[in-house]
Amino acid sequence: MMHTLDDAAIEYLLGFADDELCVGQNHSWWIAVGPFLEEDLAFSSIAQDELGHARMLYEFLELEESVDQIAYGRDPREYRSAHIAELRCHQWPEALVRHVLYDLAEEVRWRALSKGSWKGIAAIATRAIAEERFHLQHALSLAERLLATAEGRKRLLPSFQRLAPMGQELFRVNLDELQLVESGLLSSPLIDQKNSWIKNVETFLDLFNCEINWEQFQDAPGREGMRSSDFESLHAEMIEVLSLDPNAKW
Amino acid sequence: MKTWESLEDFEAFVIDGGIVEPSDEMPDVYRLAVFKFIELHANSEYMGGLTERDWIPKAPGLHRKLTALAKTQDEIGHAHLLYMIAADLGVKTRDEMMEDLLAGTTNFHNVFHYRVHSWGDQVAVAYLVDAAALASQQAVFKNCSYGPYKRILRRVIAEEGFHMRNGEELLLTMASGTDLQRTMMQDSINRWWLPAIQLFGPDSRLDDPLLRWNIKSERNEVLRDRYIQKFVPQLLNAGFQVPDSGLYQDSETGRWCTSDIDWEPLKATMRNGGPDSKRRLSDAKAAWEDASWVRDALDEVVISK
Repeated sequence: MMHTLDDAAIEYLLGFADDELCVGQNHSWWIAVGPFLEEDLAFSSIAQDELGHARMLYEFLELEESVDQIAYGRDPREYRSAHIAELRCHQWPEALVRHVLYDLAEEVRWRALSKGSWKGIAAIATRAIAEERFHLQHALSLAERLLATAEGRKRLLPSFQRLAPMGQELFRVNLDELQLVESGLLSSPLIDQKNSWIKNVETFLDLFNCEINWEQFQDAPGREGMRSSDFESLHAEMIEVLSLDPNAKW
Repeated sequence: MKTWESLEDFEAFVIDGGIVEPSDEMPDVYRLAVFKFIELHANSEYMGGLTERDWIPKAPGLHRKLTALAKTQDEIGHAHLLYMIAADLGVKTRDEMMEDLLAGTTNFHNVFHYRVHSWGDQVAVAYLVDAAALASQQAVFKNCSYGPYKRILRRVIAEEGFHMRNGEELLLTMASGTDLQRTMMQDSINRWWLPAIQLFGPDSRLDDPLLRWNIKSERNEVLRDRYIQKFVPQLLNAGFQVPDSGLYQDSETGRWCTSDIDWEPLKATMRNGGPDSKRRLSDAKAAWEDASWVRDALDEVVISK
């Protein structure tokens, strides 16, 4: 079926791409300063995958600007990233918890794109899912092993309680979300995706008697163009060299 | 398992091109020398990752960011492999090597005691430093008598070859760029030229046992000179200056001759007194200590299983 990149689809895919761009950028901060070398390698490899997904999604949007202009040339208000993706997470427990929550969400999000009727995006999603399997395996097995210890629970559970409610924003879009299913872009509505994700998060955390107050964060400020306080430093870092000379090719 | 009657027997075996494996009963002096050499290499790959890390998030554009990440991931991957084969020699565990490095009791290469101040510096590291490191590693690989090290170097060299080509492409992009880019790049070359040629070390001792035992295959001064002959014309052709007021080309031989090298900066790095040694080590130490609970917790899980 031919697809039409309507406004809802553009908003949704741009949000997803911006999430990937921010998470990839944030993961790359961890290279060489993780708990041990194997973790440095894992985070840098995952960062590359997420940035690669961002690139595929930006390309798919067929906008007039180059991928770099979209990724790095927009005004902060034009980004659509969810706030959980923008968080710097410069404490390793937070970085790991975001990795778990974000990749559990990606599993659901990519699946809905892969089973939709837009062939081009379904092919991108299928490719992403192949990589995401390893991300999720890494995140869950590491978190599970750490949560089996008292110290691990003490360090990680507060981050789960703080970040999980924020993760709901990953399943939001700024425009009519029904349109996304009607046009065939998504195989299931965002509300159903969110509920699957919540169920998966709760199933994982049930093992450790951790309850999440999902009421805590219900908004979608990122999708509406409002940036979190962490975005400023993240964005400054992304564009530091690029903004030195607008005529330069690097 | 191979055994030898005496150190002379062992040396004859090695000089004849023999390969020593971890299960062999190698002389302690050789074991220790190989261990220290690999530990220095591993430390340097890891510190190289830390050196480049500062500018990965700032890499201009998605393509540059992805290649910078891949390159640094390779460096950390090399450190990982090297620490494992060093640990197999039974002198220190991986954790002990990391702790000695962070305590400042072991060394890492001089170039990683300097700070990357700009994107131009990141390019200079990729172009000048990686090429110098590759030349050294190729010389070790050539006749390397320690089997595990030789096998890992094969992979390291293949990957470093990609890094070097990436470095050349980055440099040419800067060379054909705007005034700002060319000025930035020249500043970076000025900062990194001397550290890069010092990476080869001062002239080798006449009785260097590493040469006798086929760990190194070429003398430091030979490798350094070959590097100078290759990189001086490359830099000049790209439109940059080489920061050496005494540099000249011998009109008869065509060879490039440099000023006498001041080795004091190299010696300072050996004492962890380089321009960025303290920050580099304290950052790495803080990260290592911050995450000690992760390592302890994982050990606990393994034990309780």
